[in-house]
Amino acid sequence: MPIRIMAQRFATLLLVAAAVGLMLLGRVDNPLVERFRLAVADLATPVLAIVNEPIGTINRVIREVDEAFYLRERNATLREENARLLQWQSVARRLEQENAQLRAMVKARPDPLPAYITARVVGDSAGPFVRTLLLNAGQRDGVKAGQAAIVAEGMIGRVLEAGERSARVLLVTDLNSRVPVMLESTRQRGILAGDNGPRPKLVFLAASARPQIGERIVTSGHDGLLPPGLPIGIIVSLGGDPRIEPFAAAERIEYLRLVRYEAPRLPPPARDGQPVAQRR
Amino acid sequence: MSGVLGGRLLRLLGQLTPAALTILLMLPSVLPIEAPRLGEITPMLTVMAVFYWSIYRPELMPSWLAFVIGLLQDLISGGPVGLTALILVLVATYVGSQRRVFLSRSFMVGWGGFALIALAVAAASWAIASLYLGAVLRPAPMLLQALATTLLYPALVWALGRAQIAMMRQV
Repeated sequence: MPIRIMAQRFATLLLVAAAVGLMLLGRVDNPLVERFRLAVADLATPVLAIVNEPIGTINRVIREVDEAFYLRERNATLREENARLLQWQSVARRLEQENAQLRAMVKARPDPLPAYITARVVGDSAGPFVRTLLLNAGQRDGVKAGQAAIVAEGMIGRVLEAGERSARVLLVTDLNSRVPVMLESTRQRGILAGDNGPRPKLVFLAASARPQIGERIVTSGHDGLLPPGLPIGIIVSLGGDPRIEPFAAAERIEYLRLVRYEAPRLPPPARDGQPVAQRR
Repeated sequence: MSGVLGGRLLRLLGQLTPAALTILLMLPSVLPIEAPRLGEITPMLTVMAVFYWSIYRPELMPSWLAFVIGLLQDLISGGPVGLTALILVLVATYVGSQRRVFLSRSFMVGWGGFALIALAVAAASWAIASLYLGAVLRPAPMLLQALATTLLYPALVWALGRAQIAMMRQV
């Protein structure tokens, strides 16, 4: 029946056109596509959270078997590390005191203390295109786009979009991720740019900067969105653009914390052009 | 009476089986499974499921259903919205048109045919995603993905065949 075949071809053509149209809309960051995606994520998150339970158990079993094997060895390393950290603790206490005294002397304004939201990872984008995680917390929990996502080892990414009860985190390894960072020891600024590979690269570093292998990279806070000083990773190679090995492996993360950080801002100028603070 | 109703229910269940199994096979692609460095090459199980049902039960895997499933995967995984939908529609349409060839030949021919389709899907995804993201992506993960999917073909065809026998006797 030629009519039926024609109808089928037409339907296929329509679907192909719809898919291409959606891609074009998504490419230009159409709010409709974003809202659609958030709505589906909101619906899918509770389901994924349930399906995730057994997977969490499996992952835990894998880890426990793994741990049992290396128990003795790990115990020795931990003991050593503990001894070293105790020393660091006393150093940190002393520095904290000294810092507080010095701050009081010069009347320095401290950075606002960040608050945290803890969220569970319920989905990740397995696939070669993007590096994102889906979380089970959203706007009703205080999640906003731009917030930093951290784990104990350091920062892993930032919130890309937040739905009502779900949010998506763009990992620092994603092709679209750009994070303002600095070398920890020399405070030289740069941008950490992902390329979907495991090791993002450090770009826009000043020509005078001398990055070293093993140097720690932390957030600089220069975009006014991220708190400064969150550790991200260390430099592992220097050829061309330096490459960073992130401290935290994204595929092992079950829970993470989002940083609610209000960067210090200038007061808005008054109508006659005088800053409000000066007129007071 | 209840027999008739039960029969209709079973029939409905059988008709929904291809869609349900395909959605189930999407899960490995969207769940956080702890497999270091394997995330990139998670096999494209939905492509395989659409391939299978387009050959054996094309009326239960129409191209609009492939579109919806692909769209769902795009929206949940956070990838370019429409990419998987496009790929699955093309796979369903192409395989549907070559159905007789696949049905009449041996298992090995089916496997070879699938390997070619997986390769074509990898190449197309690579090209489209590169255009979409405005950067030349590394082609290796996508080729490995095609390879992983092809290697899983016998196991998945067996499993889907068992499911078809178990769930769809009435349909």
